Amino acid sequence: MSSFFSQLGWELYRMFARPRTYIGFGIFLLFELFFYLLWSREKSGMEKFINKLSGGADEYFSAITFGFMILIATMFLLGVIFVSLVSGDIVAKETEDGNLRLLLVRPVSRIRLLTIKFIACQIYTLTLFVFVGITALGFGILSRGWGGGFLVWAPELPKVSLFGWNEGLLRYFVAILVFSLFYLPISGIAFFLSCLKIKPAAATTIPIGIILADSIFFKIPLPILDDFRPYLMTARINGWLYLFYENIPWASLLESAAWLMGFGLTGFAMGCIVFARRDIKS
Amino acid sequence: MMLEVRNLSKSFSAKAPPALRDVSFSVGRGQICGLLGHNGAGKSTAIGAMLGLVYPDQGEVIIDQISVQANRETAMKKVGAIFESPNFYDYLSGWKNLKILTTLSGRISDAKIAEVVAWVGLKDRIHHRVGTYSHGMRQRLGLAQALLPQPEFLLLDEPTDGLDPEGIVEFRARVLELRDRLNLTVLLSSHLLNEVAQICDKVVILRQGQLVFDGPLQQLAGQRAIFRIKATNATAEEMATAAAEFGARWVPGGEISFPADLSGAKLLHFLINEKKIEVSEFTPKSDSLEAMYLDLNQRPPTT
Repeated sequence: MSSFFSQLGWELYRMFARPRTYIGFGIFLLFELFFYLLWSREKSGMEKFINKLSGGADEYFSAITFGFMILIATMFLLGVIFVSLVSGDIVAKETEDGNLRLLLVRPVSRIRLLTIKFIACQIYTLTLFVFVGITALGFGILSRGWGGGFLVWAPELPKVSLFGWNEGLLRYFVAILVFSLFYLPISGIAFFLSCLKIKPAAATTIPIGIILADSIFFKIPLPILDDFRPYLMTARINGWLYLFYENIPWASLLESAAWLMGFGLTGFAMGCIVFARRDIKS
Repeated sequence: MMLEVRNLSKSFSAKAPPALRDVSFSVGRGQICGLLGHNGAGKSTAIGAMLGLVYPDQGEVIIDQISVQANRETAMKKVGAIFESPNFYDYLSGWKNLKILTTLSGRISDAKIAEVVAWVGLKDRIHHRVGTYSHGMRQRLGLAQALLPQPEFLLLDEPTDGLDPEGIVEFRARVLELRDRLNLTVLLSSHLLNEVAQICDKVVILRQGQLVFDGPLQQLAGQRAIFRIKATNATAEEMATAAAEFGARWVPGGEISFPADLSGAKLLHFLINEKKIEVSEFTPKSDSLEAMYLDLNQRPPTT
């Protein structure tokens, strides 16, 4: 077991040592900076909006609220792309570059190697989310200072959620961890495609297309789709917002998490099955 | 036997000809065996099957009595492999690359890694990024990663491709040293006969996925006689027809090859007296090994 963790450790070292990691994290930081500057200029408009929702902009237009807005906007624009890029590349790119051949001639099974790579992808994704969460909060503190409440509003929420500073911080960080877990299906699909004999670019872009199509189907207001909507990934990913209910519906949250883990792990298992029997010629 | 290849067949597509057709050969412990063949002969597929990277349609590879197909992980504990262009992680140092690879091979101490790195001559550059390495240095790193698990069987796939002449000589010397010091069994895949002729005890020649020769080099050289021949009154076609009648093969460019048990004198007599061909030159070819190899690669393969 210790060799497994040692192998996982080196895989993580390799992933974090890549120049593209720094470039990727840097791009996220640039987007956060963009939203920080944009919304810092539009402060009065934001205050009016938050005042309308909460009746107390001074209290709820806080560092956490501001950081949360930056986090959501950045993740909405880049999250799916980045997760897909990391998981889609992990096998396909290494196969194409020839790195994987050197690993596959070692006395380890392909399944073990893929498991290490998949777990490393998830840890990498989680690290990214935590990084964006902390830096977004940093921008929030820079703009609004320490203290205040936490306001969350989304069309999927039954009402505007308001929390104090301490509870707000706790929910903010738990939400980041759960949010990264809810990206598992995208990672699973990208990983599965990565194990096929296709170009890394295809393994990266197809999951983005799938999640986009899924979210479009989720949003189309056709009654005929109502029966299928609960089975769509978007419906389950939105389950992340349960964390912002005043009383968290744990059963519903766990149900969504189980669905998404099912999606993700199915992708991983299918990838393993395909890759285990694949010829690696060069 | 350290390596036994048994009835290996593999097709990658129904439309393309098979990459391997019922190939069988073996390599004894401590032997250096050359795996020869032109590009597309099936060498890479055979090596892929030996390393468990390619799944054969039929047959199996046995390494020290362990089937690669049935028990790949155990078989690979005995193997070190070097590829034509070892693809390391360019953004990491040579040392980190070795650490990543050796972690997958079990526990190998830093002292052992340092010892092997010093032996391959990379001590001064091992902590530099691989992206800054020359081709020769990458090959040395490739040799280091192959030797670190302390294998009994070393598989070298076109290891000297892209090396300068000095690098090639040095590489050969290191392979011979390894065999002598550690009694390693080596399979050296190459399309260059000259390369394998200098260090191999035996050769296996593949052509269009089929085995065309398996034996010691001396046997290869002595299997057929090759002569340079010049005729003043016969065209190439006439020479080819006459040679075929005798049981010989006309090689365009002025050479004729025939089984060693047939005599050159009889051939000459046949051409001059029976075919009325005026022969102005008839000399045995000194580089008969190479000519033999070329000859084998022109003949239709036989199983």
